[in-house]
Amino acid sequence: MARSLKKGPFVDLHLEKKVLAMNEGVKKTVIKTWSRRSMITPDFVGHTVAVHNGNKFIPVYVTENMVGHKLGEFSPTRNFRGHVAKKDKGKR
Amino acid sequence: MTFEEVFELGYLSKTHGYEGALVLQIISDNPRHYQKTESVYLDLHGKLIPFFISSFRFVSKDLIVLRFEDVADEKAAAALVGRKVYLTIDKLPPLRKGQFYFHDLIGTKVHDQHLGELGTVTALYEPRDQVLVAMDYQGHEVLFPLHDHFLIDFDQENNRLKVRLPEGLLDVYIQPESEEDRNERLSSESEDEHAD
Repeated sequence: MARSLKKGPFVDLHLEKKVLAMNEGVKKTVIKTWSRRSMITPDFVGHTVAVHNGNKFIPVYVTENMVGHKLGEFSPTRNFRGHVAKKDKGKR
Repeated sequence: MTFEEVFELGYLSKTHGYEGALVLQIISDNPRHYQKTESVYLDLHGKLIPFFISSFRFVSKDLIVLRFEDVADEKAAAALVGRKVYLTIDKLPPLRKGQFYFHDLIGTKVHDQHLGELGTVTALYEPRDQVLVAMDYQGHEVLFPLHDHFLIDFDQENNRLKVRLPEGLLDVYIQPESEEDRNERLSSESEDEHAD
């Protein structure tokens, strides 16, 4: 069952405080967190969050299309290995 | 032919029909570039074996139904399902000025606009929705997202990647855990245990 809309998205309080403090100030630094369960709200957009995957921190640069997902979705815990193969993809 | 001389074009996802046709899923930004391909290499038990294409047609943007010479029935085609398909590097389309392939970044030096020379790119990872560059910095593996926001320029001639890393990123990997971090980690772990 989906979460009740009345409650709003779940974000761990300590993480929310850090993001809001950063939004009020000018300085943007990487936010370290273990809170994989927190949902990405529009306040997170433009911040870089280092999300722990149980082994190390995976930096996630939050973009608009990540809103509504959980932070843990972007920090894989398994099979986090291997080079990007040579492909005709991902040119910049 | 070695794996250094080829790039991954895609993989054979399934058989098609009963006469040995296969479905090739192309991994490319521009699959139509390969519509006149005459032969490909398949990875068979770690070796690159050439296969000649007898018919080739697009069924969607990045799906191709093809047939190989000497693969005449469904059984022979089924043995190739799941194999990766390669082409030689010279078949890669030419890039416009300023463009580069991600695999060209391996071994380049990372230069931050504020911190100067940092380290060398050792690997690239593709977790969901972003590409991460792994850099060797003072013996630590430091990751940073390859996003336009952080990327300034890639100078291929001088093998140098110019970036503006987010403030505090290196500290995440270098600095020992602070008391505040420790408390947050422990509270997060204990809450997870309660949830279980």
